[in-house]
Amino acid sequence: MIEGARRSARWRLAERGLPRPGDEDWRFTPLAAILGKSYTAARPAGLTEAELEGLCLAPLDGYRLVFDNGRLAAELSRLPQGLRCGGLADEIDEALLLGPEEAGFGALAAARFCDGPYVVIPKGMKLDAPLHVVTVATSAEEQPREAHYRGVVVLEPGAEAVIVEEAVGRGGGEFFTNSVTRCELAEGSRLELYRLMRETEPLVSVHGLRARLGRDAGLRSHVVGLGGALARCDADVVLAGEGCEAELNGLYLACRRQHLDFHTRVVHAVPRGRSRELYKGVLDGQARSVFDGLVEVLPGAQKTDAHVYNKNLLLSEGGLAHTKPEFKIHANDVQCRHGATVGQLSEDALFYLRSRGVGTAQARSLLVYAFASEMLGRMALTKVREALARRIEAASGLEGA
Amino acid sequence: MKPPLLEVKGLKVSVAGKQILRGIDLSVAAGTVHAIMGPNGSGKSTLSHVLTGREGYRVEAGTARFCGKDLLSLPAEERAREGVFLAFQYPVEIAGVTNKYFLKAAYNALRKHHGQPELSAGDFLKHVKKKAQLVEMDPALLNRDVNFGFSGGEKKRNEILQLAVLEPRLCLLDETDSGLDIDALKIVARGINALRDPERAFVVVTHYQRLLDYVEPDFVHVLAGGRIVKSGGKELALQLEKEGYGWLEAAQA
Repeated sequence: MIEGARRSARWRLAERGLPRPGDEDWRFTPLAAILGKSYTAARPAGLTEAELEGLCLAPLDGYRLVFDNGRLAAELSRLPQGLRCGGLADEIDEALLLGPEEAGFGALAAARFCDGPYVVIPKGMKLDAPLHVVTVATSAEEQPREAHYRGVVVLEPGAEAVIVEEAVGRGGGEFFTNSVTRCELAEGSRLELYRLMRETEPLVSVHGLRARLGRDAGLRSHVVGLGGALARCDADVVLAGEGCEAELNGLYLACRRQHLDFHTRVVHAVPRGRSRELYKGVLDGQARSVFDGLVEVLPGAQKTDAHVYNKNLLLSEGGLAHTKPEFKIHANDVQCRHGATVGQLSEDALFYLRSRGVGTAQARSLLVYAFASEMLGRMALTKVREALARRIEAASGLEGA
Repeated sequence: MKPPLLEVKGLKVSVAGKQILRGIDLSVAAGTVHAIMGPNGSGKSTLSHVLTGREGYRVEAGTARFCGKDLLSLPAEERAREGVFLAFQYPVEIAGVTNKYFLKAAYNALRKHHGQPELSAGDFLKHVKKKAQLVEMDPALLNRDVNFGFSGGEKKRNEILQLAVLEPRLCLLDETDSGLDIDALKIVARGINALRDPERAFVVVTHYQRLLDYVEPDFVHVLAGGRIVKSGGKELALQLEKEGYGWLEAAQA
């Protein structure tokens, strides 16, 4: 079955192709850093528990699904009893692997599909602990490697879950991770979804979240961009049921020559949907960021209430932030707000802190922390929040963080 | 005799090519309160900023010594650690950092400078709560972000709280009375008075006399056109209150 699904994806890919540098959606993304290489499929690196712990931001109690260079590492995983949770490769059918809308990197992920998380939270069930989904990329010096993931998360009516996706990497060689996570939120379900992008720097990655929200469903997403030489993280969220709500939070900290890239598309397809989006970024060194946040309000989606904001803090002369919050509105009774800022650390605030004896480096990191803390404050998982806070506080400026 | 806490001699300062201070001499002994009064634009804020190390000022001549040390060669944070404190005219709002966290960072930076170990979170909280009581500040403000959403009175009280916590030897108060109603002014003044100490000096920079009704100065200096044009006792403040600054400018002309 899996071969058939992969074959369909290859057809799709052949039909629609991969993005090209001139495409509007990829204008600011240095595609050559991904496409200009020939990769071979990565093989499991035999990851150990100790290695895994060293790679993760924080040890999370609860359930865990670990993928080692594209394959489920069953011995490192802790699965909840009595529900469908595991590797998608065991469950695959074509409908799960490839949505009708997929093209580009999403289709590529299906065509070269290795594995990915497959989780179904049954009707009315509240998952009693967070599920930590870790993908580990271990590069090899001699040869660029790749791993392609497709994951599926289904929340049946009234189900609730907290899922932490964490992408980590190691090794100094080149590695391309391409992943898609599809989330189906049925009526009245709630999902808090983290995406921690913590790859090491030679690594490149493209990730897409595709979420569809039913009536009164709630999605709260936290994207945290920290690692990777080039990391692109897209979110396509369709508000498909009345009264549903999506909150998209983003926090990115980029330094040296990192390129962190966020494209979000929120579609209000029905009336009375509410979406809130705020991505905040800090750039140091020669880092680049892209924020492209589109909200589409389809005809008939009256009483839509949508916000899109992007705020950037530049710590260096060389940092550069592209930002484009945007609305396409085809309904007339809506409340839509958007805004973007790019600024620097306040000299007044720096002097204020220094005049109290706080050294310049600590004052800078305190102000970066202050900027980021709004996003941390929205995270319900204490361990993730605190580990991120420590990381930000420890850095005096991001270089060398 | 001990050297004065602060000794300013012939201080000339310009900002963006424009001379603001044209030769200031000022000697402040421990245990005293000096008031510096003057019309707008006379250089009052420049003096407090240049003494605390704000960037953007050019010292063209003169010296400022604190306990015998050359103050002007030190970066702002070093001056603070040595014991110089500026209560801001416009305290800066820092959303995202709690007051408590900020105070702890500052307090521990001072302790480290003096070779003392950092205080534990619990001991520090005890220290701060005692001081908050002293300056009549609601401890709830400790958990709020630094000055963020504070009323004018709360901001100024927060400055006095910082002063109480950090225990500096030289306190420069820049227009601390501005924007305060009479009740807030009295609370701030009580806080300052509670912190008066034989080892500590205050330099109160103000446009109006009213703070001096509650914080009694030992010396009053009138700053006009970048110079101290008159010095005297507290009666000078009353004279300024009655006659305004006009007579000074007339006398200078």
